[in-house]
Amino acid sequence: MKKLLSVSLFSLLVFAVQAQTADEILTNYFETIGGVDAWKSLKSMKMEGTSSMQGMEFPITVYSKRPNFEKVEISVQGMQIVQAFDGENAWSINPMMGSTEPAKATAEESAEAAKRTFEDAFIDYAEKGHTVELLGTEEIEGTQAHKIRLTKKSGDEEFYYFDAENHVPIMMRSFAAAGPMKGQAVETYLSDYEEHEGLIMPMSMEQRINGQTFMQGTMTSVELNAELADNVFTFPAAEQVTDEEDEMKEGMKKEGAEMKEKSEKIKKKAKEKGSN
Amino acid sequence: MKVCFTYLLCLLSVCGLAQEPVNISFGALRARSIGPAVMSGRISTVDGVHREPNLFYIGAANGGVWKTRSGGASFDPIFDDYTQSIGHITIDQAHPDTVWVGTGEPWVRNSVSVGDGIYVTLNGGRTWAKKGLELSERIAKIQIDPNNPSTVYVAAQGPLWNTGGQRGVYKTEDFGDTWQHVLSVDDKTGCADLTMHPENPNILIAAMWDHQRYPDFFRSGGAGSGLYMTTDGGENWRKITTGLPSGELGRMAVEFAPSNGEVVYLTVEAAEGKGLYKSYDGGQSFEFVNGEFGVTVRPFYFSRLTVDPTDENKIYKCGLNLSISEDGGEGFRQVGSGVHSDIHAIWVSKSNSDYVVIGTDGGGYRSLDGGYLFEMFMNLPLSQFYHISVDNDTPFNVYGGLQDNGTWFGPSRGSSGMIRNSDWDITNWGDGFYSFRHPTKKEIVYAESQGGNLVRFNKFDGQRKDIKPLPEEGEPKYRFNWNSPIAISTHQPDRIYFASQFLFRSEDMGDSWDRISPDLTTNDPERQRQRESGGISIDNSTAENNTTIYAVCESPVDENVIWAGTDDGNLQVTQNGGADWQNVVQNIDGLPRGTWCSYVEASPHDAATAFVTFDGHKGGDQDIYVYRTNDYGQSWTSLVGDGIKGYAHVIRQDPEVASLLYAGTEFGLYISLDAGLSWRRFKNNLPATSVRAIDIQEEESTLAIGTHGRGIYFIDNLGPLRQSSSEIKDSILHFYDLPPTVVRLPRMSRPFGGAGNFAGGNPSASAEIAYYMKKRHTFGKMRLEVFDQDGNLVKELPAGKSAGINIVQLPLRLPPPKSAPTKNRMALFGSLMTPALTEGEYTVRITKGKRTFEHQIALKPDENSLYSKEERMLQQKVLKDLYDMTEQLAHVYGALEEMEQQATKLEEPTIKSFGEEVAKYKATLVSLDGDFYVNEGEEAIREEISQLYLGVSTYPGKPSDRQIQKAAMLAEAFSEVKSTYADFESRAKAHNKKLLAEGKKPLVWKTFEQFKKA
Repeated sequence: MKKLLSVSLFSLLVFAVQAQTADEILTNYFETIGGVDAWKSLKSMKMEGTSSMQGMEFPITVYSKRPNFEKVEISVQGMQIVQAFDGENAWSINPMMGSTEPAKATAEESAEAAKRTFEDAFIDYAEKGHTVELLGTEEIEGTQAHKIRLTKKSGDEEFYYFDAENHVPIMMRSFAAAGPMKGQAVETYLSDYEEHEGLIMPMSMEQRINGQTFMQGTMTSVELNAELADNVFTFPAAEQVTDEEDEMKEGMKKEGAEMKEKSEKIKKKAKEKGSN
Repeated sequence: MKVCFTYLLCLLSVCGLAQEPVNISFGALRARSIGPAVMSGRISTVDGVHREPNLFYIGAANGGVWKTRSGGASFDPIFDDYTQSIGHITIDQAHPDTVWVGTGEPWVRNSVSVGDGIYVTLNGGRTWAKKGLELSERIAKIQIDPNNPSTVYVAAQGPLWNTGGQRGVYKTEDFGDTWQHVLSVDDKTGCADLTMHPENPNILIAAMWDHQRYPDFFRSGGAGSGLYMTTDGGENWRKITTGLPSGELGRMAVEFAPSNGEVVYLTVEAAEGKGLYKSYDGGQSFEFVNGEFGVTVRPFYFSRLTVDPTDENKIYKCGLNLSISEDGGEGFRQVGSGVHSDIHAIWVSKSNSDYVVIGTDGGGYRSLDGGYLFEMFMNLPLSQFYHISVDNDTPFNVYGGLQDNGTWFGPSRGSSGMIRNSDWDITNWGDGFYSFRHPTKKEIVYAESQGGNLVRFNKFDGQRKDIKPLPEEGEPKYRFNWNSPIAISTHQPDRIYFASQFLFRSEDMGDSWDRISPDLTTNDPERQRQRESGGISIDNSTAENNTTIYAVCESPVDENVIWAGTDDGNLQVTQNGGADWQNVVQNIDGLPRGTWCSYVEASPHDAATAFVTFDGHKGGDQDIYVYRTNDYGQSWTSLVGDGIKGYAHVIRQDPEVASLLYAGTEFGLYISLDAGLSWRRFKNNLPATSVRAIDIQEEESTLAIGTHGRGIYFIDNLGPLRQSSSEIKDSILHFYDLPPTVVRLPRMSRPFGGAGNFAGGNPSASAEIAYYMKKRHTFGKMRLEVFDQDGNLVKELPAGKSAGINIVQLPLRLPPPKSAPTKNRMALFGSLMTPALTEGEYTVRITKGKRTFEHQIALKPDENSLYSKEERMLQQKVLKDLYDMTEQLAHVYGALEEMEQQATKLEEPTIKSFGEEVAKYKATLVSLDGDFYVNEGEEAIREEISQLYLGVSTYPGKPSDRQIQKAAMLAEAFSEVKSTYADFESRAKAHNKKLLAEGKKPLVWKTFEQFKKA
């Protein structure tokens, strides 16, 4: 018991020493990206750009707002794919998956989405219940980088690699939370950092699994503190839709009704068959 | 350090080589894994989660740790950043995300690798922490105290080729932060097995093993071996002798029956009384049960027992075959059903004891019927190559021999878009080593099995001719190494070299031989003990044959210069085709006498230059020895500097760029861009496994890498490495010149195989754009654009941002056409077809901040294409017309829809009815009746265009006459559509005049250009 105690004291001590260094790295980082105060006063953001997947390019718009509201719109061959979180529910519209109706995600997916906060997790990380630990330096894309482990209050771990010279993260490694890729490391490479109204942010990100790029995004415009009402993010209910969405919805309803009619016909037929 | 560095610098500048170190990041240059998994490789350990048997872990001899959650349908490598030789895996069954991995395989054959301690994960393998025991080299067993999982016992088998290190039983009570050495015997004895009482974790039995290997000898057994028991968690140990043989013991396996702590099984290696023993009193005393072959065979390789978790009488014994007893060891059945021989690991699920997973020399298998029938995991690329070579076919093939898995060859590019298990073919059985295809005769392949059994295989009829040189009258017995050197000649295609203690040359593909050397070894009788090798159990498999020639190379520059290196430390060279030989090893400073010569490479640039590696690990020396001579061996320079480690197996010099060197060591591939001044480990997709063989395919500029545990890898384009010289290393951005990209026609894939089969990637089908950057691009914009010869923007691509080498893939397909809606399946397929980027020159422009950089790349057709340029151009023309027609129709449809939607909402009846008219016409252009499946609906022009587009696009040659006619008919029909549309457009414009005059919003619709952009 005594031994155990001394070991944990020792590790606490080590942790304290390392945390200090990690904090220095984070201080440099905050200074480089425009200061904690400036980032804390940022309320919302709208970004537009292009994303590419498997050699195909799509226009992308990302809306985000405190505390954890998010909506991503991707246009594929004229079809809108939407993924959003409204503080409570994650939901999506994905015509590529066969439905133009908005669909709520599973509770598990919603819980995952809720964890993605608008504010940088490193800001006031201790108050948020997260911990950080410096794990040394590693070479990332030919560049010396400090490796920092962020352990979130939830227990989730993410690894950030801060460019030792330029103080900004150039890579982030997280782990897929669900699905067939569950547990797989996803690496996000960050570059094209640019200044917008005093804030420095990466305009290009590339996601790789097993070293292979599967998604890449380049942002071309940024609107800070964009006017974004909560209902931009909420799961579409009849009273909240804008004109444009209205039209879309009407179209969807129509299709929905057709589908319903069809399926009822099929059901009816099946019944008839069954009774024969 | 600085002094040493300057000294090296001077030496190399004297030789007229690179004078300053070039040490750049390999950036985005990646190795491509092609498996193979068809024969897989040696598995040393398996453990699974009892309550979830489809979740298990496999530890490979030299291929890391693999995890499956699907009972083997797919595996993920989860230990690639660490030592690849795995000794034992133990899951904490109460917390199954906690997994301990002991490194260093305990099945100590002559080719076994080495570990570096113990690791643990708390999250199922996502992240690992190293927990010490670095000097144990091999960990045979890990036992967790189920009542207190921070208490763990480890059987450290210890260094094999040396005494000392960490060996015996180690115990931690603080989750591996500190270890107590609770059982040790002497500096030659390690712990080979350790078993814990199923109810009382303070009771353990340890099998201690006195053993050592040497280059020429193996000893299993000695005074140190013995069986020990503790009943107080390792504080005190008592030697158990009751019922055991009285003489010296060798390796033992020991296992408590999980369902009854009074029953313990034991196999004993002994001169007399070897066999299976059983205890009925919890290990206090043992009774002999059975001495049959299955339980006594080759103890050093197979001493592992598993007892069924619920049935104390069902036991599994590893061996040449898997032996299973259901009556407490009285009788055994041997498992057949096509399972590879040499079983090392068994796991039986507690929740369903018919669920059995085993590891063998040839991969992993699973049984669902308690060990009768087994199916193989065909997705574990653990193949253990000793040597590989490439031929000059298109696509080229790679040949190589493997540990206990014969000799195989397979393609570098599979015809179905990937390299499958079924693409590989076997040329010879046994353990396989060197294999070469004849330089000009495509059907002839040389292969060998252990101890010098050389064959010539014919791909045409699959027959092998034994061409091993046999002693002539009066000659001494030939001594062939386990892994005898074959060499072919770049000067004479029919020439082949083979070696025992003598070097042989054949000018007729091995039909007849000339001996062209005296005994080139020390012929030291002290090193010729293989007949007594093995210790207690004689094990004379040729694996310990020594005083043999191990490495041979004919100079590609001068066929009279031949090098031969021996396993007892000689390095011999002839400059007159074998008439005279000189041993030049004494000219090498710093090399311990008698060190095994592992490889010799005669420079492809200069007859007097050669590179050589020596490997002393079998004598207990794990240092690295790599040298170069420029004067036929009169003087040597060490090429070992910072950045390279592991005992060395091979070194190759690039045939184009003399300063580019490739070295394989036990811990990976190392590349030097500056003639050996500095080295860097190549990590991009290549784990730190043993790299034993390297070959270079010159036409394709490809590096082929043969590993002893993870199969074969390629680095597909050596251009960036060859062009990374000191001149470019300070460039902000420098384009590498790559050869034109050959546009290859895709073949159909073979679908519906389901999961469970490995497929290796083909080389990239894209054009590659490669450039060097001194620093990573992190701040500001960076864009990459590609323009055709007319200056049209063809593609914008995400730029690579890495310091060092960047490779950006330019897909050779353009986007599919924008198309109007349809519900017809074939039409939909049609509009998803992407036309090819045509052959020719393209300009790449990178904009990085304020600077721009430009470079030309080229696409060229496949020289072996069956289609003439005229035919290809015609196909492209017809396709382009249909592509344009598809997009124009899509625009017409879209614009009509815009008009319709706005017009029908207006009050004004003429405009409203105009809208209705538009709607009516619009509906005639497409078919929306179908269901994308079996209901094809009525076809309109949209469907006709897309179906024809589909037909024409699938064949790269001349379209059929009917297709050409149909295209003309559709063009005619579409011109009518266009004129109708023009009519609607002018009517809409007229309506707009009126609307504007009334101050109302006019009808708006997109022009074709706007539509294209949207």
